[in-house]
Amino acid sequence: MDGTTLFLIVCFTAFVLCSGVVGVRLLCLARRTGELPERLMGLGLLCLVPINLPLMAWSRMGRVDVGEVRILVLAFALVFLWLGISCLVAFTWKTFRPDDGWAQILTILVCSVAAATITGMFVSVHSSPAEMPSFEATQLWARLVRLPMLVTYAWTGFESLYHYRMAWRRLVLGLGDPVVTNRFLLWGLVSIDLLVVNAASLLLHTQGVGVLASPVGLLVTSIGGLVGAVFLFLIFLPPAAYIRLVRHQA
Amino acid sequence: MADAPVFDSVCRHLEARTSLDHLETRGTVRLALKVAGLDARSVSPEHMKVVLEKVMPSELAARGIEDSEDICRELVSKVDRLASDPDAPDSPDAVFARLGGK
Repeated sequence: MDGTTLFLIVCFTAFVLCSGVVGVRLLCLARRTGELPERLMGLGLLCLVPINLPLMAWSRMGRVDVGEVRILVLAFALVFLWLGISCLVAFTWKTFRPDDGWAQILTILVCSVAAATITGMFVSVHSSPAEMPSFEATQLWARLVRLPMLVTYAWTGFESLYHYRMAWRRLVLGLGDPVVTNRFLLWGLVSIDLLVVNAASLLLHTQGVGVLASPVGLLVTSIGGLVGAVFLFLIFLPPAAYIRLVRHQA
Repeated sequence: MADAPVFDSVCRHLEARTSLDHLETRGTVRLALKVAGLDARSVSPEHMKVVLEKVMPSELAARGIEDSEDICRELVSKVDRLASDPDAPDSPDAVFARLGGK
């Protein structure tokens, strides 16, 4: 195993593990508090990363011919993908814009487009000739399914960074908490990080290149995963030393 | 979503105490809240007091209102009588404080 492959595995594993631990922790928190935001975020992270990604890899989708794709595993992976996207966009709506009608409409739109494109992806695999490469069979749908994800990450990033700016102003007047202000910034950066990874993946896909087959794709995905893991850790499982540092710097 | 009761109350008192009209008053208070990183729909009495003490005097002075410090002190005493709304929705700050285990 060469150094690049090892680095990729370490980054990917860190992101999957961190998302899994954070997701479980948030669901435990939701059970205690009975509140919706932690339930949505916990479920969203669990479905999108530690459940969906291994299932997608196990289904062999994109790497083999249509006839060799594990169709039932793919079906489960896609259901969890939809659930993950829906939970994350609903988290953004319920946390940042719970009373705005346009935010509710945008959330419904993202969930609907995600459902339509994911269904399209599954149907295209199911109805294509067995000897056709699955990457080719789902090319259009694999691109379209990125759109609701890109909208979700862009919207979440914008809202988090906007609330970071407002929280910073409150902090100057002695009204805010520096740790919470820092969390808005980090969650905004996680969203931008995921936006960049998905946009790069979409760009490569439009050129007919799989992410894992391109050095640039591998680099962006690996570094994006590692950055995402570190930020998730600092937001949801912050060590005492980090909290002290943030308070000290404020 | 309607504006917070404390926002309406401050605007009403400010309109009665100054030469600003209804729209000017609400616009001025909204701008002061924005400077402080707050929103008219969710501002609490405690936060409004800080805005009245630290931001509003200069905003009123910039609009040619004399005795802006005295007016703001009066408003603070009125806001003191308003209790926080216990049914206020979960703010993003409260959610993110909880998510990180604070």
